[in-house]
Amino acid sequence: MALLVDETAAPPVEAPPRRRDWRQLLDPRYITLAVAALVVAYLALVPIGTMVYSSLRTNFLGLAPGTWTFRNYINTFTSDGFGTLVLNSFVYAGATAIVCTVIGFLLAWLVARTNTPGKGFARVAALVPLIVPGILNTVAWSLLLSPQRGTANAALRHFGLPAFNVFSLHGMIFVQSMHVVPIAYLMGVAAFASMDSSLEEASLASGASPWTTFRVITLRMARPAMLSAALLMFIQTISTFEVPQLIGVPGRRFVFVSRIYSALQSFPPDYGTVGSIGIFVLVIAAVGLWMSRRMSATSVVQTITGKGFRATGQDIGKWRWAGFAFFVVFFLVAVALPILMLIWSSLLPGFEQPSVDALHRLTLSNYAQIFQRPGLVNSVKNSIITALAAGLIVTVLAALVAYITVKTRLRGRGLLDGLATVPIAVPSVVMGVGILYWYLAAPLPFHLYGTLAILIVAFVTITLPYGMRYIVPGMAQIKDELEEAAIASGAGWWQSFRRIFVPLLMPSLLAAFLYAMIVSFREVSAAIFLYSSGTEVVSIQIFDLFSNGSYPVVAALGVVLVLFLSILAGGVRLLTRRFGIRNG
Amino acid sequence: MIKLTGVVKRYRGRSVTANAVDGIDLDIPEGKLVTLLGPSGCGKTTTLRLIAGLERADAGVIEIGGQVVSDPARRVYVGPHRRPIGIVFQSYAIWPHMTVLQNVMFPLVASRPRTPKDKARPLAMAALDSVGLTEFADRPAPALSGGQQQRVALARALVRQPKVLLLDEPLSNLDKGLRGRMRDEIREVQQRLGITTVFVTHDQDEALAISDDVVVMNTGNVVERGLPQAIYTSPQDEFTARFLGLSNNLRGVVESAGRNGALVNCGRRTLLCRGLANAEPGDEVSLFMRPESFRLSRRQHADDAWPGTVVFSIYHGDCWDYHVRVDEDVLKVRVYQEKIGLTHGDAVFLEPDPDSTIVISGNRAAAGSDEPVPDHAEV
Repeated sequence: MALLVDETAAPPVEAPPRRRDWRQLLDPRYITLAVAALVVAYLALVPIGTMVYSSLRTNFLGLAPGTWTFRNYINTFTSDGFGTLVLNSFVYAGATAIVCTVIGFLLAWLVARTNTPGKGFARVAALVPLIVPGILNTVAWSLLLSPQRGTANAALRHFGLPAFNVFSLHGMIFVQSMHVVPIAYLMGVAAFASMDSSLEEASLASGASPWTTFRVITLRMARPAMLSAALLMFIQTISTFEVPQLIGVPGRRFVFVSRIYSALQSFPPDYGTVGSIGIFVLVIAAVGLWMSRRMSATSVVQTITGKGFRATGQDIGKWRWAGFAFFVVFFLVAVALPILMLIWSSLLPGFEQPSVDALHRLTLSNYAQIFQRPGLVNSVKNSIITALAAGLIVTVLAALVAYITVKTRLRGRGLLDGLATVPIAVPSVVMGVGILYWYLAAPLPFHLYGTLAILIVAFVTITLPYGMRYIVPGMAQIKDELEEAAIASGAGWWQSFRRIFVPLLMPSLLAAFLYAMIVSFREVSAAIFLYSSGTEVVSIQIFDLFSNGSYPVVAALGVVLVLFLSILAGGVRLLTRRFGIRNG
Repeated sequence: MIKLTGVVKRYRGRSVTANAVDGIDLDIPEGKLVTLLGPSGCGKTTTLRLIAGLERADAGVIEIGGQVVSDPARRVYVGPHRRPIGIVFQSYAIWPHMTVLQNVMFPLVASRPRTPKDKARPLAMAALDSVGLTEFADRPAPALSGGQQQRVALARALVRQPKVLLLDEPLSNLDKGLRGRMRDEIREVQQRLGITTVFVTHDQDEALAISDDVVVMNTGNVVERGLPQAIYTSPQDEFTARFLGLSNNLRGVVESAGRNGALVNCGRRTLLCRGLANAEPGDEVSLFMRPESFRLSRRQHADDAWPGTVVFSIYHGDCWDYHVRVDEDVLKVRVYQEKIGLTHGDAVFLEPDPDSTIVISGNRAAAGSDEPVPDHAEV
């Protein structure tokens, strides 16, 4: 992360006369940019700061005044079961990272570099899990693989095979892997597509067999990208909530995230444990992200490119049918099974196994409930409001910050860019708790806790880096001359921003807006700490209803949510394709 | 050494399925350097990749050193790793995760029969020595400059002592000064080793300078083949003529034919062409003249000089380029060693050089004359 102030920023050639300083500061350009910078700094730093503070205080949020202490850390790290907790968390996240990196990169290699049939189908299959929110994926798999009533387990038993108990460590690893494979796949495609195929051809022409070439050249060239992807998957897994809570807790397999949640749910809440584990996870995530960035930055793959660059498919002979079979199995397991399960349960009044008999009881009443149950209607409304607001705020904020970092030479813009990417390193759970603490404890003149605003603040913070990722490259593509021409034509800064940048950036802005909405809709890990009665959003409602055992309504809500998110995702894809926005 | 008979390679596109190589016959004798020359998309690189085995032919027979390596009709296909070849790519394709020496040793230790490491090392060092890079052996490959990488690629291609060396536009990534040096170096190594070499390029100067034989290709076919000087001075095909920078093209009709050549009438002008032996009066022909072959003057020195007007002039330092309008044609004329330039509107007289004018008779000229070819294709 570029957290350092860019010292190469050129000072203005001619220092303006001193008496005009105040007027320059009142320039709307500086006011706008300063406000944006302050907001970003506030969003990025407050949750972390509060979290650190809480972990170093006795009696946090208590009535009696507290003191500074390391006791929280010492107590937590020496408590019974902390070793198991660390072990479980690392095994869970580590195994998930390995599984999904292997599957994702294999898919990516087959799609990007071989002549395996059915590539178009595989591309779609690999990306669908990205649209299905993690909470729904978790719900679907626990319906499929619950040891007694799971539909897939019933099928396994039918064929005389042993059932798979999802409520276990390997169950957690499996479910989470199915969910994060698309991210590994996307990183794999990026890596393989940027690899010059003449590197492999040179090996073949040197007499190395295809298998040797694959091992010594292809895999070796992809190694930095694979390690980098695995680290990101590790961070993602160790910091999200759905699987540890809904699958780990029933199986009595606690990891950091579920431990934090249970410590907050206990009475009185154990703020010390929450803070110290939170900071522990934050450090792990930050170190992992730093290593991952270093890995992909030092990757040698990109250093040699030139004219005559080709990235073509390689003939893998009969193995292409094995590749095709892999596509099909992946599609059935990762895409078809969970989605069909959701659809099936959404159409029945109560949960039951698929059978001809059950077809007579098919009903749409669960869908009708979404529009009838006041709680559900309210949560849909809340989700739409928070996602729209978060999308809008992120888009505006990211556009202004991107302008500062890309188009100006203002001192400290490197720092600002760093601040805007900080939330990537902050696990959503830590973000949620940090925000919660701040608005509970800080002496502010307004109260956000218990309102939708606190959720919006969380969603804005979490989605800001994604917004930046869409807008910064778009901003960089706009040549400086275009703005200079506008100013030379007599337009003020704000006018040129509005009339030149905004229209040219529109595709990037829209993509950022839609993507921020998608992420907000799916978000559970932070929202779970911030909602209160009346401000539930859809993802929280799904979590609650599922915990209460209302599977059919959950399924119906899930199907509608997936449909809605597919439309948003289709919009993003259309925009990125049509306008060639670089999509990380 | 290399023999292609009726080789076809199809590219299946979504809407169009085109033949990238359209039934090509090619015979490359042992120890010669043969250049495949043509514009991009003419099938020259595909031909090279077919010889290497990096592409599978759809039809036809490919032989290397008497062994059939590809014959789809008999289901024969030998993979690239089992062919006796060395190849240099346009992008060098130096593996960035290995040192220079590891790159050059790779063909020895990876191909069968494997060379033991202790024997491979001196062989690789010898190959590096032959391209003058011994002191770079332990450097990481990406730390080299473009020219050095190209030398590593050449050493890697030669280290196994292959029967055939394949070069796919090896010079096009180098900057101009280095290009000539590298070209001469490749030629020197090739002649010293006497290795059969196929050289693919779109650059006519490169092709003329380096080859024993030039094969001009267009739209997946061989257009013409010959010695470099023959291809340059007397192309037999209109495509070749255009591709080799003969930018002035006039159409004419043979008026009379004799022992000294044929008198060709183009519009209101006539020209005695010596290169045309067995023409009949009334034949339609195509005339090509190089810009530098005209004599240009302000005054009329000969009766058959063509009067014209300068419409455009460009100063290059060592020469001037003029566009001269002669009747309805605009001719490009290049004049060396002239201090005072002419400007727009100046009246001039052009004397074409009958000896260097290339005449291509009507039936050859008609074939492929619709193809627009840039003057100096993608230089």
